[in-house]
Amino acid sequence: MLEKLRLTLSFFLATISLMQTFARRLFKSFGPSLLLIGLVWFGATQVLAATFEEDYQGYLKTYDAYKLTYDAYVTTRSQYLTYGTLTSKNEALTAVKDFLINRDTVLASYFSLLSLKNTDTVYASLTGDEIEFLNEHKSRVPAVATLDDAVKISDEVEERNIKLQILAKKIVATVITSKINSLKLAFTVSENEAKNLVTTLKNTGHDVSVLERWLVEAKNKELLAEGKLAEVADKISKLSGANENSITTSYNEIQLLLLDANQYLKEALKYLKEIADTIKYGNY
Amino acid sequence: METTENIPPAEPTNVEVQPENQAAVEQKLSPVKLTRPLKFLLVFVAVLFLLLILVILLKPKALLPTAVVPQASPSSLTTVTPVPRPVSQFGQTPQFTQFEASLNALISTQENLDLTEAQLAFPVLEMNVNYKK
Repeated sequence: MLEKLRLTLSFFLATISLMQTFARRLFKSFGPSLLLIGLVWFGATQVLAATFEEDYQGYLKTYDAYKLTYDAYVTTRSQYLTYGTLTSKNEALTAVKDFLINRDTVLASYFSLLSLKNTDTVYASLTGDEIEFLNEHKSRVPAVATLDDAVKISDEVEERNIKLQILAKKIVATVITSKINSLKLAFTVSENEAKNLVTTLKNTGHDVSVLERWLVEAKNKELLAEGKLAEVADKISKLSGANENSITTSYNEIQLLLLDANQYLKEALKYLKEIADTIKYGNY
Repeated sequence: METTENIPPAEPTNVEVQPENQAAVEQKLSPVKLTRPLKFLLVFVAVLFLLLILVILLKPKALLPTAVVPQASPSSLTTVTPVPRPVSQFGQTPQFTQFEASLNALISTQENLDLTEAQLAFPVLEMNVNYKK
């Protein structure tokens, strides 16, 4: 099902790429139709959102189960370290095995969730690899017979933690970037429609110098947003860190750039709105 | 020497009104003869007047419909409705209305854009399993 969803999203992305390639000629004649396609695509994402919500609830349940096993692990660990009896050791072993299984389940569920929103093929492949690793790791945990082995098998996931975090942050940043890129694409369609309207007014002999100035300002804002998105793409590709804090710091820089890009698009839309109101009430 | 004890008491001064002036004095002092019914009428009017004042104070809207009484509830706040502006001929064309509709939809989408993706936050997990004291 995930593969089907991925293919569906890839198809829509390919459609949008085609639209970008033949932008000028198509927008002049079929601008509204293309915008309609974009909006239909957006509607399709709403259907996918319902599936995501179901999976998200499933993910939350796995996390709740994990928390219970974590509490049991902490308790039995404390008892074993305090008393050191054979009983406390066996209980600690049972608890840590449950804990490791649930930790793997949470991580696998989380990356499945990410893959629902992910549209990048490279990340899709990496996510699939991680889910496979976690499932295989989970299948080996029941065979663990000693606490030392439990620690060793846990280390296999712990050593992979930084890599998992980096991958997750890259995917999330890419998801947000895709949203803003879709918005930018829709904005370009509206911008071209506005240009056509202004040209029509100009050809009928009206003074449209102010409207043209606003079109230029809107375009400038769009270009600024484009610059920020390019910077974001570069930072995502270079996202790394030796520990969680450094990864979070790098990710926060990406978030700020995305907010900037979104703000520029918002300001560009305001210019288009001004143009629309001016034309609507005949203030030209 | 005269002291306060020695001062003879003051003689009472009685002003005697002559009978022929009695009527004139009474006329000046009391132009209307207050009979009992008249007294009742005056009291009644006074009470009515007081009641009127009370009614005005308690229910001003009923008696003074033009009075502006400030209220604390926000529903009484005046709302400014924009003056309806005439739409230009070009603003009524299908080309423009389609553009305006898609622009408004785009603005709404942009305003509701979620840039945090809180649901995709990495789960907080214990990543240091050990049995060291």
